[in-house]
Amino acid sequence: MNRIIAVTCIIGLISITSCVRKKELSPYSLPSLVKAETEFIESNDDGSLFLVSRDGAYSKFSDGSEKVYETFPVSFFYVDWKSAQVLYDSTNNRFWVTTSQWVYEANGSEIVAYAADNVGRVSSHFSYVLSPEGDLMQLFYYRDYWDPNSGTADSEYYIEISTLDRGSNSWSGVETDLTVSSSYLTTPHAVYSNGKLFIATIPTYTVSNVHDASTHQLYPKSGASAISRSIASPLVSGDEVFGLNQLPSDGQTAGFFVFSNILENQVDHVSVASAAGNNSLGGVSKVLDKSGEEYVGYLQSFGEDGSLNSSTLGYILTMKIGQTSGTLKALQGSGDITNSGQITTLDVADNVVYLGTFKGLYIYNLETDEITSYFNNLLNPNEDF
Amino acid sequence: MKLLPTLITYLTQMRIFKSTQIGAWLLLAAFVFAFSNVEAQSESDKKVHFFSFSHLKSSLRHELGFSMGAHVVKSPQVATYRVISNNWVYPEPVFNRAIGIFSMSYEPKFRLIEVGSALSLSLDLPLTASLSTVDVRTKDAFQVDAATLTDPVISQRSAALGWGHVEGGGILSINLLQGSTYENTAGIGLSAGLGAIFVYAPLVMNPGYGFLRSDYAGMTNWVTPVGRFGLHFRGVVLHYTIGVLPTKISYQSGNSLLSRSTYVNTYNKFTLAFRLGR
Repeated sequence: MNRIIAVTCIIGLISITSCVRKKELSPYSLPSLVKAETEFIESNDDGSLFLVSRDGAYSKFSDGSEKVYETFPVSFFYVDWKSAQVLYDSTNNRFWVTTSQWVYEANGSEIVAYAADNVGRVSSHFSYVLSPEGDLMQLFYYRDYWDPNSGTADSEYYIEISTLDRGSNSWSGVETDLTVSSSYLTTPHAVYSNGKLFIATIPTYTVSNVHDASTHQLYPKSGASAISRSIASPLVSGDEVFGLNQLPSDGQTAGFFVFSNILENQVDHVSVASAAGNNSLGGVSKVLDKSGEEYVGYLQSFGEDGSLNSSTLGYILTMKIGQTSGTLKALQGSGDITNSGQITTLDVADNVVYLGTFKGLYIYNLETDEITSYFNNLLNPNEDF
Repeated sequence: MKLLPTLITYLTQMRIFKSTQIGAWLLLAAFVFAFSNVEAQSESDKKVHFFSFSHLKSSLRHELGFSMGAHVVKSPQVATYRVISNNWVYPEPVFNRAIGIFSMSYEPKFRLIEVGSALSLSLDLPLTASLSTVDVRTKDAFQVDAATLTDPVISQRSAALGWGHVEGGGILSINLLQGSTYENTAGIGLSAGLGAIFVYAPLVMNPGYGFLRSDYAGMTNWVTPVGRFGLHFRGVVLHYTIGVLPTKISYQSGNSLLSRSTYVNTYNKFTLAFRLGR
């Protein structure tokens, strides 16, 4: 009996000591583009991100899927990223890059180009908006030079809403009754709110059904026409609309916040410097985020000689709808990134500022003020133990 | 006696006859050999006794053990060190390694079941304090600082993480002949057991480099399963303790681009112990 017990124990011990587990750590490659000069960055709270650098483009969606784009439409190389706008379709996991001539769809597998519907439109006044379903629409002015019904020349412009049909690569437009004379042309900035398309011109319009021109409603406005005839990059919360006097673009900042109650006549404004409580600051150079009741903008920081190479990276100004002053957060330089002159573009999401620089993409933690390379973020967490 | 060749064949086929384990297999061979003589001695008395606090003196044995330069412990993989080269990432396992220069242990052994006078099952509770060097490192000797574990820039520090470590654990052992029961007077005895050891390393963080224990959370303590074999010569015991569930990690070195492998979650310790009292 003892022999059986002993042999069983010994065999058991040998078996157990033979149980060598095996594991392999495999090398993997990372996209070099995150270390190249950043041209554009769009980030969202759900973790999605669209990056364009000198070395290519990269997208990451909320489900974690990533794509480094290696082939591009020819026209994509000529996009002016200082003025291009990127819209994010979270429903269908698509990023839309919108320009005056082309729109581009980055869908996680390829970048597809669609010609913008610019036939007959006033080329300098147009905007894009995404419906909740993910339909890309373009709003622009159209003029019937000759009205066949009245047999007279038509001096008024109509706002037309064109929707992109991705399948046929064509736009289908609806000519609305939203008219304006040539002297009041402005960019028809728009946003969807509560299922309705809100066109933030002054006067403002709401459109219940973009395919039925008769569903719009006009709200007369007065009070801010000297500042702007449109509320740029609008955010709507309830009946309140909040935005900028113009869309920031290369070299031009927006110096005023413009806001109004949709149902009321009055349109008010406040200077960005006043809202920030710092007269030395310029206007908003980029809208970083707008959701709920918060509107977040980036204010550049200048040195005493007026150059961008100051000791800080700039400021994040957070405005709450209904208030005329906001919260200012200074971005502190550290490590490789020490002054705002190094920043090429930026965006904010989930308490993190994505800093696009000449050296690549960096992450600024708003809680700790630490700056780390985004490259590190791409390291595969699955290789951990 | 055909068992020994069979065992050797088995071990060879399993390709685990490693130098670090030769001692264990030799002990096992001796164990098997000795077993052939046990039956005759144990036939005379088949009475079974269970542990009782009222007979603590006969149910408890104390040992004081020493180990010099024969005590090496490696934790499971505690982090990943990444070498970046041309946008390729080469992950390498990081582990905590303690090398005992001088270790001292105290071990109470509770005889749970005694069968006759030559066979028992005991619960051994070894407690060890070791003067040791402790590194958190890769196989290629990158002594990795916590701050650089995810940093693509290769950096090394010039000193160990700290000094000294302690261990505590429980091992369930089968004991034969000498040491198996209070009354056994055989000159030689054997034991084999399985258990788990908790390791806490280092005891003292290296102050010269400002290392903080909080930076190494999760890397300075672990539990590892072990097997142990013991050879008793009257009041002296030679123990060999070995980790029974090591992990072999294969990887490609980011510095040499060669295929490498290393074992983690290992435990090797030879101890010379002395019985305290009877």
